[in-house]
Amino acid sequence: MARKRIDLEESALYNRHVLHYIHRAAEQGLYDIRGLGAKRSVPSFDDLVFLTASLSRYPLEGYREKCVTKTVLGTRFAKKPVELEIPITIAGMSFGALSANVKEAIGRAATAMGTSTTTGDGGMTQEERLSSKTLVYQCLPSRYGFNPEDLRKADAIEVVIGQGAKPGGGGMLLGLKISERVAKMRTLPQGIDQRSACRHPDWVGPDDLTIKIAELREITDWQLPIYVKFGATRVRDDVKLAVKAGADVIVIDGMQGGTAATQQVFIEHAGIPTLPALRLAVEALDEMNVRGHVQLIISGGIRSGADVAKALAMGADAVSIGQSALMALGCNSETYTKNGRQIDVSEEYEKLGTAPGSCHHCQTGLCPVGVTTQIPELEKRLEPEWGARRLKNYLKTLNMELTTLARACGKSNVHHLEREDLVALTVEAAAMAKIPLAGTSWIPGESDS
Amino acid sequence: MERLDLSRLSVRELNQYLHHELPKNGVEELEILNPNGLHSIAVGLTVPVRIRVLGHTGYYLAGMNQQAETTVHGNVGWSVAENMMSGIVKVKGFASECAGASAHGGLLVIEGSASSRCGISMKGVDIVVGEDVGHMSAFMAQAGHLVICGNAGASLGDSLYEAVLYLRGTIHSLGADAREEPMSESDYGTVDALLGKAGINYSSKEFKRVASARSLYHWNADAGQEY
Amino acid sequence: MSQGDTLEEALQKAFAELDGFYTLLMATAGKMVLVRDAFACKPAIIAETKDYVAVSSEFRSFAHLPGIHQARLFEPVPEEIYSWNV
Repeated sequence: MARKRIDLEESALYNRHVLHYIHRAAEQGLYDIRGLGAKRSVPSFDDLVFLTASLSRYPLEGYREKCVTKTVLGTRFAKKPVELEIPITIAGMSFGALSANVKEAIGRAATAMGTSTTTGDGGMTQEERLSSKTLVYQCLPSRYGFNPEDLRKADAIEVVIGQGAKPGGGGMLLGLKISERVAKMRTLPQGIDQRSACRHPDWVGPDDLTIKIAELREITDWQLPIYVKFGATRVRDDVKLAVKAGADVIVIDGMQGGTAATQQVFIEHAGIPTLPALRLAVEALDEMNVRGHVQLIISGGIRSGADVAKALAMGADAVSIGQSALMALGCNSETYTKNGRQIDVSEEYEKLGTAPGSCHHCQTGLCPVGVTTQIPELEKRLEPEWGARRLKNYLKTLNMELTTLARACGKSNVHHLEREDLVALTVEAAAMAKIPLAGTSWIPGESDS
Repeated sequence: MERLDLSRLSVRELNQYLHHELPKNGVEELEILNPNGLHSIAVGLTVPVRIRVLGHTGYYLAGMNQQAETTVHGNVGWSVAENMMSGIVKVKGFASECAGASAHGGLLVIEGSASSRCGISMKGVDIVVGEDVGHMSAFMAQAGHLVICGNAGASLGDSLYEAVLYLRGTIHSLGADAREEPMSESDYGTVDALLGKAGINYSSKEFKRVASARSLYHWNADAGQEY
Repeated sequence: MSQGDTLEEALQKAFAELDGFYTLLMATAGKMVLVRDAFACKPAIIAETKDYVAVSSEFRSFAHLPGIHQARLFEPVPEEIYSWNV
C-alpha cells in the first residue's frame, strides 16, 4: 500500500512561532517577557555596501598607513570630555540583568581597548568602577541606587529617556534575579518581580529636562559630559529637543536594541530600526547646526566592523554595543569555558525550552553560560579574566574591520567616512538611509536633482 | 551671618562656593537672599551647614542633599530635595510637584501643602506634610515614611512597595495595591517621632496607616492584576 | 465655540476629545479660564492680587511682578475649571 503523502503547508501569518505564542497566552494569561532585541528581519546595515577605492579613489595601505580611531565625546559644555581610543563603547546594561563577574569582564576589556562602559538600571557597582577606566553613569526613571557619591565618581552621565527594545516602557527584573545584593542596591524586597517607572520621577517634559540637565551639571560642577539616550521613535523631534535642553551627546538606540527582560510586544512592535533612526538623528543635528559640537552615539544591533563603519559613514561619532558584547562572552554558545576546558550545556538550553542559537531567556536568570544570572553556581561559569580577553578580542576585531574599510575608502581617520562612500541594496534601505540605490542615483522620496 | 545674594551672584557661583569654599572655611550658618524662583539652588551639598533661603525657589532646591539643613522661607518648585541622602530640608510655604522624589534618607518637612506626586519613588526618606498632598502621592514609593497631616488626592500610594504612609485627613482614592491598615503601637511611635522632628503639633492618634497589599509583587495570571 | 458653545461647554467636550497632558488657558473678551488635565504633569502656578491674576508654568516668571510678595500663590488642581471675570 502506498504511504500517505505528507503535505505540510505552514501559514506565513500563523506560523509555528505565532502558534506557540497563542498556545502560551492561552495557557498563562500574561504577556510573554523575554530578553535580547527584535528578531524579525527589518532593513539594516546589511542593506548598505561601501564603494571602496578603485581608479577614481585611492586606498590607504591596509597594514602600514595610519588610520586614526580616536574619538572625543562631550565637547559642547563639559570641562572634561570623554576621550576614547576607539569609536565603539559598551552600552548600559544593569548589574542585576548581568552578574558582577560579567560587569567586571566588560570593564576590563573596555579599559584594555581604551573605551567606556555604562552602568544600568540598578546603579554603579564597585567592581565596575574599579575595572572600567571610563564609566558612564545612567540616570534612569527608576533611579535605583542613584546617589551623588557615585555621580561624582562617574566620567559622564547618561540621562535615559528610553531604550530601543521598549521606548515608552519601564525596566523589569523578575524575582529570581532580585538577589540579596541586587535587592539592597535597588531598595527593594528580595525575590519580588520588579517593575520600574517609565517616566522620570522628578521631571516630565523637554523644558523640565533642560532644568534637570542644569541640575546635574551644578552637582558635578560642570565637569562631566551629559548624554541623553532615547529609544528610536520620533527621532527628529527628540534629538532637537535634547539639543535644546543642553545635551552634550545624543544616544539613539534602534528597535534592534536588546534588553534582559521586556514584554515581547514592545520588542517587536515599538520603535524604528537603527538605520532610519541614525539618518533622522544626523539630519536633526544638521538642522540645529550642531553636528560636531553635539556628538551622536548609535546603538541597536551593531554586530561587526562593517556595521560600525557604516554607522560612522552615515554621521555617527561612535556606536555602542550591548547584545553583541554578551555574545562575545558566550551568550548563545553551546559551551562555557572552565580552566581552559569547554563544557557543553546544550541540555540546559533545552530545559529552558530553547537551544543554543535561539535562546533569548535572559529574563529567567538561568543563563547556561553564566552571563545574565544572579545564581552563584551559574555566575561562576564566566571567569572575569577569560571574559575580558574574549570581549577585548571582539572589540579589537571590530576596530580592525572598521579601519580596513576606512582605509579602503581612502580615509586616514575613521571619522572621515562619509555618506558618499555608501550605496544601498534595497529600495527600503535607500529610502530609510537616504542613500542611493546601487547602480542608480535614485533615493526614493527625493526628487531628481 | 554669611549672606549670599542671588540678585548679585549666579546660581553657578553660589553652588561653587557651597561645594568648594564652604567645606574648607567651616562656616556653620548662612542665608541665601533673592532666590526669585531660580532652579538648582543649594544642590549637591555635602556638609552639615545650616542654610536659610529667604524667598521662593524654582525646581530642585537642595537636590541630592547630604548632611545640610536647609530651610526655605517661602515656596518651592518641583522636586525639592530630590534624591536627598541625609540632612533636613524644611519648606515653610507650599511645595510643587514631586517633592522628595526618589530620596534615600534624611527628613523633608513641608509646612504647607505639597502638590501631586509627593514622595514619588521615595527610597528611605521621611517626609512630613503639614497640609494636603496632591494626586499620585507616594507613587511607587519603595521605603521610608510619608506623614500627611491634611488630605490626600487621588490614587494615593499607587504601586506602593515597602514605604508606609500615615494620613490624618481624607483620602480621595487609593492607588493600585495600596490599602488602609490598622495602626500599631509602633506606628503611633513613628508618627509621634516624625511630627516631633518636624515641629508640627498633632496627636498621632488621629492618623491612619496606608501600606502595600503586596499583591503586585509577583506576576500572576489568575490574580487579575492590573498591568 | 464658533458654533455656539459656551466656554464651559466647549471645555467639557474637549475633555472627551483630548487624551494627554495639557494645561489650557483660554480667554474671551470678559473672561479667562484655566484647566489642567487629570494627570497634571505639566507645571502650572497662579498668582492672584487685588490688581491682577497671573498664570505661568513657574514662579520664576512672576518673581519681578509688582506686589508679588503679597500675592496669593497656588497651583491649580487637576480637572477643575478656574475662571476669572473682568
